[in-house]
Amino acid sequence: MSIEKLNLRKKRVFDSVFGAPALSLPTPVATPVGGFTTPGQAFGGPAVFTHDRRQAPLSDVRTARGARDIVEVPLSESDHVRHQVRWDRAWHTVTHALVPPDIPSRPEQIEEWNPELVEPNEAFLEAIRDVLDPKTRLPYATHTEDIILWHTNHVRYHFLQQVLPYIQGLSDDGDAAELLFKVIKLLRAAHRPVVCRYVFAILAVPNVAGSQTPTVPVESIASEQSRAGLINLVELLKEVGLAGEGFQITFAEVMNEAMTEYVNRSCKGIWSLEDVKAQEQYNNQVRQGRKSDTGTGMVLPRTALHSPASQTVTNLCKWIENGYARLAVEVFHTLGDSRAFPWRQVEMWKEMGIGHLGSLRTNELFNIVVNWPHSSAALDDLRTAITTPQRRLHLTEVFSQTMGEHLLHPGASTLQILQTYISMISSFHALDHSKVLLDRVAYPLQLYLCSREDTVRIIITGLLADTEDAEGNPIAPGGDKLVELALLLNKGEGQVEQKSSDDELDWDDADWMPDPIDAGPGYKRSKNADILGTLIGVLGSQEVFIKEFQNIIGEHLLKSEGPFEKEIKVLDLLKIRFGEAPLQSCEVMLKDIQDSGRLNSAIRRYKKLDPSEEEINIAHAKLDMRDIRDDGDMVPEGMLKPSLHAKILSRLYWPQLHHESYRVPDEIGHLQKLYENGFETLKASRKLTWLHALGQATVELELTDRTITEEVHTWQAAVIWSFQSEDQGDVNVHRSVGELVERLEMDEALVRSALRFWANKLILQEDERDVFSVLETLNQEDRARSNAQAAASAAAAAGDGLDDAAALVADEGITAEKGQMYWQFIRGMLKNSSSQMLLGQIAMMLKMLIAEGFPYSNEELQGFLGRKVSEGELEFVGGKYRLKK
Amino acid sequence: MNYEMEDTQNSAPGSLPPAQAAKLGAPRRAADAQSTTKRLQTELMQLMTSSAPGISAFPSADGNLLSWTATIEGPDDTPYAGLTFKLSFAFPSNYPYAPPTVLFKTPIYHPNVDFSGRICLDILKDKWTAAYNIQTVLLSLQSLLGEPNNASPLNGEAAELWDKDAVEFKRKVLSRHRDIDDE
Repeated sequence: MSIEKLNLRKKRVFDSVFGAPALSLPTPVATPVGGFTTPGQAFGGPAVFTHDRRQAPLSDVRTARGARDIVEVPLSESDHVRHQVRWDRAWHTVTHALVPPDIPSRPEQIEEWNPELVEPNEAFLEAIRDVLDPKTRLPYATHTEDIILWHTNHVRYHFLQQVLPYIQGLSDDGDAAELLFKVIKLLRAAHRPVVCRYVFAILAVPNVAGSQTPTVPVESIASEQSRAGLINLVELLKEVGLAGEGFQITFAEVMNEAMTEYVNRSCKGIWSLEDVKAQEQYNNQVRQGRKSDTGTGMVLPRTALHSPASQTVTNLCKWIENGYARLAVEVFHTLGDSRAFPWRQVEMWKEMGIGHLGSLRTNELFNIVVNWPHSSAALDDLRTAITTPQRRLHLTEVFSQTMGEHLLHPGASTLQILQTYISMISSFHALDHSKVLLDRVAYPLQLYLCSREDTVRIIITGLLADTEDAEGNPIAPGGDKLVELALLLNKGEGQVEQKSSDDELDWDDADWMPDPIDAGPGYKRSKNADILGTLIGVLGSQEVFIKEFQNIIGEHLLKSEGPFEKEIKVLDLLKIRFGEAPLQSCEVMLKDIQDSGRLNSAIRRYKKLDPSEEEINIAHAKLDMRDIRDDGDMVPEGMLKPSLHAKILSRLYWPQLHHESYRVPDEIGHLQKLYENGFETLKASRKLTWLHALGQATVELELTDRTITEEVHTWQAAVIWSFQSEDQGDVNVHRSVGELVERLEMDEALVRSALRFWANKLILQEDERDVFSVLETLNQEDRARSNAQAAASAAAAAGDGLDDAAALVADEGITAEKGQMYWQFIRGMLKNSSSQMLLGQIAMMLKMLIAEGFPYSNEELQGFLGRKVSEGELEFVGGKYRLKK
Repeated sequence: MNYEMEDTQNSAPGSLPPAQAAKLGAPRRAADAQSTTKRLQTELMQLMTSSAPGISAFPSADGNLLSWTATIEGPDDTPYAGLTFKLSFAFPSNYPYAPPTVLFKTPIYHPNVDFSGRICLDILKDKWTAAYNIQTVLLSLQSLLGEPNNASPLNGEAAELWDKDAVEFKRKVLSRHRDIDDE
């Protein structure tokens, strides 16, 4: 009771805010229908009814009829009153009949609770006719209401007040299916056949609950039981009349959702064949020996037949045919739709399923590409699914967007981007041989890569990278180099198809396909993915590429001995791309090195620089004695006296070589003289110029307690050489930086870098600031450090070397040779264009006019101009530079 | 040096250094803007790396490669010794297939140059070939200062004086010469 009161109060509050519904509550039986008289009407007129009031209108049809009879009798009464009364009467009859019965408060009772349905009798029908159509039947009734609205409202009210709490009470216990049955029962109870379509307003709830059921087969646990459950439900629904259009819509929606869900759940992230197999196995287990599926070809829809279907697509189609379509057909039959189920429908479902799969894969595409080559199955899926130009367009759009978000930002390293690009080329090639898709997505990537300065260098070092480490194990891609490229090169990729005549068709090509429909005007077909070609051709101009290649190859050639197979291979590749002429200097460089090998031995033989027999014997004896781990690359000669091997370069063809000079140790100097003589006798008209700063030296250091062999730069060797004590007296030699700079005539930065190098090796120590001495013996602590550092410093040394090289370049700023040319430009500029110019103007002009580019910053240029000012060639007046008159 | 002189004077395409040959040879199409600027850039680089004495040229300060300014120093043993002359070069878009328009900016008293700076020189007119370049034009102009072509004068008085009265000619040259200081 109190709850009722509370509800009433609630309702009052609600009504005060939102306004009470303009509908009357069901007319209570006791209410006198004609209780009110219309104004101007004498009381007692309709008093005839009074005796009827006490009887239930439903139970006494005659009363209603009688009432009408009576109403018709008094002639003096106006039609208004008559009609109004009749309306009121009918309203009462109908509303009373339609009031939903209260649900028993105790849940146990609900099972046997079967409220008596009011059989619609004649009186009721008459009444409802009146109520439904008062306009024509009772034209004079002034006070009428819409019964439909009333009923809707009332059913809703009833549902909220009684049914819903009951359902909520139920949802705590029991599984969904049971709940559903209860709900249905309840609904059936609440149902009135008369206005069944209004009840559909309620159906929102059973459908929400119902959506649980069809998703059961989604998880492919489509056991017969739940299927039966569903069918049962549908039957029940049909029985209660809920299986109308609305239910069918809902069912269709649920089925659609089910397909999407299925695709998402069963295919997401399953990209490789193994994954697919595993998934399939799982599915088979789940299906528990359902009868084996029909042949693959039969399963697929016709549209997917033109290309070999992927496993996932086949699985999906099987599912649609065996699970999805079956369920749908069964439900349809249960619903009594006996029309033959068109097979085309199943085909359409399959296409839809593939479409869903396609969009899923499209969204995943970026990750698929990144996972190449472990994601080929996913690409197969995509190939099956992407059949229309619209889908292709969508695919490229989505991919470009993802790529832009995930890859083309400063956080991604160029190496990473290039790796992705390589996977992109391969995977898009697998997806679409025509390259149209790739071209569409690759453009922003290429543009971005062109803005990265190190792109070309990474590509070339990648090409030249070792594919096997020292022990012969293949190096896995993913290190700090693009080993992928070297692997591809070794595999013989990059062989360009020679017949690139795009005008002529290859008449013998049996697999010819027309150009894709969405190919651009500049479309060129090509058969292979041609990763190397794309990377070389697209990123960076030819000049940049060749220059970079020259630099890197130069470094390689100088640093190492060997047949340089890789270099030759890459050179050949580039030659195919760019033609012979631009790569001439690289060719010469390579030839230089090969020639100098021969020349070297010739000169050494001629000048008797090679060790004699007995010298070798002595060396060997020494070797045995000291039991040095013989690396094999130690020249016996080196044990006794310094040996010299030279590489002879043709100056004009080599890229910028470092010209730093310093005084080489006398012994080496002497050897160089000898060598020079030898060379000049062999090649009469040519002269040797030594480049001291380049090259490698193998240094063996004998210290009191240890012997160390190191492969170092020549200038590092020169520095350590100067620590050699001249007299054999065992005094520790101390050298300061300044002293070394003077002695070696070497650049201070270089000296410092060399000292740092040796100090890291624990061969030198810094006694005081800038003064170093040899660390002849290591104490315990140092020794431990040495061992610990051995590994670390090996790595660090590599880094150090790079730093040193960088220092070598950076210290130069604008090099002398280049500077001369720049100076010409600046002079020409100031002489002709404008007699005085700002720094920025000069920099801009240089950048614009020098074909090979002006790579220096404004600060570097300022330094350069500053030097010219101090040399007296320029004047700096009022912020502008001008030539000194 | 030797090497560079060679490629400016032996102007037959075959003798061009490989780099330049490639550049000129690659786009065989009619001269488009791209190849014109490329050619001018190459010429600039040549001028800068192998400057002949007494002449220099450079694109104008606004960075338009089609408009250059050049400077010629008057050769010794001529009335123009010690003087410098500025010239303007305007290159047509189909350069080098058409000659540049060359004008003296510095007022000059010369038989083959009129008072507005126009020059009468056959290689800038009908004798032009694509093998000429800025450097050859400047060298020709420099030699024109010492050896005017009095057969077809633009300045009749100067042509007459050149033969008759060297002192007066020199005076006229000096009085006409005025160093122009741009901006």
